[in-house]
Amino acid sequence: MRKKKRLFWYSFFGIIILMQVYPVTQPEVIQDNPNDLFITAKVPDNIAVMLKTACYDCHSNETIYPWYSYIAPVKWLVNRDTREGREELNFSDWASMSKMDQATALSDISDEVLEGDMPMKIYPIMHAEAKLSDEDRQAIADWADELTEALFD
Amino acid sequence: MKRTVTILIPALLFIFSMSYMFDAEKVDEPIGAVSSTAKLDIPDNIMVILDKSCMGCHNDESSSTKGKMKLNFDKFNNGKYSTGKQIAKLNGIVKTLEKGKMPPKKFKAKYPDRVLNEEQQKLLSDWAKAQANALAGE
Repeated sequence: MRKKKRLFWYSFFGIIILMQVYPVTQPEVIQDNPNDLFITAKVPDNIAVMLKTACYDCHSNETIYPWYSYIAPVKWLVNRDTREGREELNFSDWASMSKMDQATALSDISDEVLEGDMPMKIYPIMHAEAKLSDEDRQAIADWADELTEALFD
Repeated sequence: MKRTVTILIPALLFIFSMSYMFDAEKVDEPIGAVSSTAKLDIPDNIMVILDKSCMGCHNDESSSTKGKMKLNFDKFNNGKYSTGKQIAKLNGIVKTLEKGKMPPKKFKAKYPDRVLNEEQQKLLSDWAKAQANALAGE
């Protein structure tokens, strides 16, 4: 019985260690983004703070990787979410998007933040500051809706 | 106690990893024509495609919360979508079709005859693009 238990733990940690060497590329961090939303558009301070803390880790090139994001299997999840997040919407590329794509992005922001789909449920567990209240969500949605209309004035 | 931990830790790790692999999405039964889209200019050939492959989820009565949140054709008609929102949604149709994300995999598996072929996708996409451009005054 003891032997079995020891074997179990050895293989458990063995697998964890093996997981570490599996090569995965981490989405690159770029600090200088001339097309970034905050540089190219006027965003009210309260909205900007929320976008920065609740969205920018996955939806911009300015990802802040926490220590545990270097350890597999968390590393895989963080890398995947970041990669997919940037593909879907990257605030660092804002000014290079067409007006219509900006409108679609803003509409998705409004819908998904209001519905509670974004930020992803798993995100605020490790980022307490990214928890959004109902008022926060409404404020982001109102901002996004207003900006959508302004695009086609 | 120890035993619980030995089972619990790997189990949690496993569930945690697995939960990322499945994106559970409810697929609605397709329903009949929802012809309440007067404000959009929908020619017959487009209406046929929409009815067959889209309207089942993208309407007010849909039980797919996500489907109707993302796109709801009823809202084009009853004034719930502003002009900007309409443009955003129409362009969203173009982009979603481009990525091949709609109809969802589960729907396609369940209703193979409702899968959109290339020609239908292009028709739908060109129509949405034209509607969006018209609304944007371009």
